[in-house]
Amino acid sequence: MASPTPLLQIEDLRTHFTSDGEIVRAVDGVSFSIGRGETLAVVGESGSGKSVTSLSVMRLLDPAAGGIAGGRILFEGVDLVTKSEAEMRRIRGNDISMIFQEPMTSLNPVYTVGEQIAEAVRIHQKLAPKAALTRATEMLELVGIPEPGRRIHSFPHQMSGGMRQRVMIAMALSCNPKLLIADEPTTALDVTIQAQILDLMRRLQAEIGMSILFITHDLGVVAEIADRVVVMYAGRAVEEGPVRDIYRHPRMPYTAGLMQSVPRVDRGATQQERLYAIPGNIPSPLDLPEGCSFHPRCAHAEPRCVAQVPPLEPVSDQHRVRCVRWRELDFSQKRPA
Amino acid sequence: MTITPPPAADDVLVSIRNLRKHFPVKTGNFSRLRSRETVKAVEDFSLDIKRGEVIGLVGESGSGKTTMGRAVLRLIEPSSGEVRFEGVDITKLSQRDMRAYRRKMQIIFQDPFASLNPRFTAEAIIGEAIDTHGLAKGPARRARIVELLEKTGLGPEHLTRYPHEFSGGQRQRIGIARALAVDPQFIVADEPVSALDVSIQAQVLNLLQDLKRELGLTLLMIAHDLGVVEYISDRVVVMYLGRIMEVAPAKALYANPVHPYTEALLSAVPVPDPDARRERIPLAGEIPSPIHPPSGCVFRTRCPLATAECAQVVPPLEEVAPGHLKACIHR
Repeated sequence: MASPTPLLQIEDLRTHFTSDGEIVRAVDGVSFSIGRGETLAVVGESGSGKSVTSLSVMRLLDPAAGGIAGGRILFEGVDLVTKSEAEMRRIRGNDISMIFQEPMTSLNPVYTVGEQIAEAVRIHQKLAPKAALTRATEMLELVGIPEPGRRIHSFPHQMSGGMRQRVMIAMALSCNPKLLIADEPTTALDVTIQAQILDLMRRLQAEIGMSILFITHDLGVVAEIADRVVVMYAGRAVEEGPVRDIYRHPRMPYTAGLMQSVPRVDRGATQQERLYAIPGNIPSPLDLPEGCSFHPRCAHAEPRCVAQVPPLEPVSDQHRVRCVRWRELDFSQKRPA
Repeated sequence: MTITPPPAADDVLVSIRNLRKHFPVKTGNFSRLRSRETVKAVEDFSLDIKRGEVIGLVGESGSGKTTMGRAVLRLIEPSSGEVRFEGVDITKLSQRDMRAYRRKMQIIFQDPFASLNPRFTAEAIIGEAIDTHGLAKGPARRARIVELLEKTGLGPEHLTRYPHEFSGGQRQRIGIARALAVDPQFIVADEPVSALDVSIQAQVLNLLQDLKRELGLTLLMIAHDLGVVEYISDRVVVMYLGRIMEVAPAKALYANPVHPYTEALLSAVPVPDPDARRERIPLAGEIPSPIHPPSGCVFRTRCPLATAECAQVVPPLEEVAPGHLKACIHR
């Protein structure tokens, strides 16, 4: 639940890139907040801007390609957009940590995992090398790696994908961050290993009390891990609210269509003979449609959808939607008996 | 669903018997001794695929499902066992005799970005298969390519475009058109939608469903996504560490999984419903090395039901209901 002072508050974030002299609006006016101890999922398909949003918070964008063109990113009330690189380095790893999709490319292949976790602790918490290695062992134990005292001496290639993601989580949490940004952390893993990692993240959040910004394309994972969800499409937030509201009563045709196009294993004989498919393709960021970016693919589009970008309007206290027709459309999901 | 009578034996298009594929382990450039160790990728795989049937082959990484799909087409040579296509054991054929069969069997790959030649237009990509098998020339060739593009939801305007001008979903449609170009009877689709966005994945799944109905395709669909497999398959085969754990009609497998691995796998799939009851069957640890798979039942090291007996013998595939087979001594 959103507390009175959110841990992270993003206001009208705009992140632009230049490609062949043209401006790509990868993130175009996104606002949301994350409360303390809360898990917020940002869900979207390719080109939705979900990863660029998370990289903007960490200020990890390549300055040669583009950057934050507007808006504020308030972390505990302080705007990260105005921070210098030196100040950001103190915040990264200490207050805000990040884990990525592919743990193999995020770990250094020539150092043991113990050395890599210890490095983070040494730099941020100014621990002596020996104490840092002890801390690394504790962290490996915390994330459920068997024989942590032995495994700190392992190299990344000696571990499986699931184990490497546990190491990444251990490293990210080693300095007790207030916010963990997880960008598709289970996408490269098998489902049984994904289930282990999601359980681990839930357990650690309960123990440590950090907030999580969880970036994913998987609506199933969102339902398992998140308190609230922001749905993004073509650089904009199109719907936002508590997970139950969004899944039961989606208001935006895109959200509803996305939910219906997932083949599900829990429907048994009620599985439809034909999947609902959203027609058309995801628009190119260089050539976004006028007005509502979704209108060319939307079965409910009207001339007014093309005329202007719809505002994000409140449906209820916490539920917001960007669709001019939300009052007329009902996509409420009935639960199968 | 219509009820079809049980098919006669000659309805079997592809019959796989005791297929095995072991890969030698490379021990690195500096080692003088060549290792005799092998990766046991597929072990004792038997299955009959009927004409017009869609088989879903599921399993996690390292289960051997991709190796299996390629060995069936002889894109890699099986170590032993038989693959009978219309009664002919293709594993014994010379490369020359194999060519006639290559036309009857095609493959669709996972990555639509890596599997199309970036320097060929869509016309050249689809036309290459037609030329290889000398199926059409000149205007007939062009007409055939347009027909294939239209069948897969594209159009004549796409003939002269290059792969980079297409989206992921459109590229996968070209991959499907290429496979269909030679009028195959049997297609192996190796994770055909796993690289696609959810909204595009549904389009391609529906296309495969339509083609199956329209052309009577026989399909071996390899996927790790159990939802995708349930949607498209008539029967589902669950593999673990190179072996079949369970085979059943799709509805029966999902409603009534018998093997403890199938149960655990299904329970691990995240369901897009915040109120879903999640009775997860946790699997301890990870898939063991296929170089030294566990003795007896390969799943026993992670199985909640495992006993000492499980280490003794490889459990045979036994029928629990018509067409529903499992390899577990405790179920």
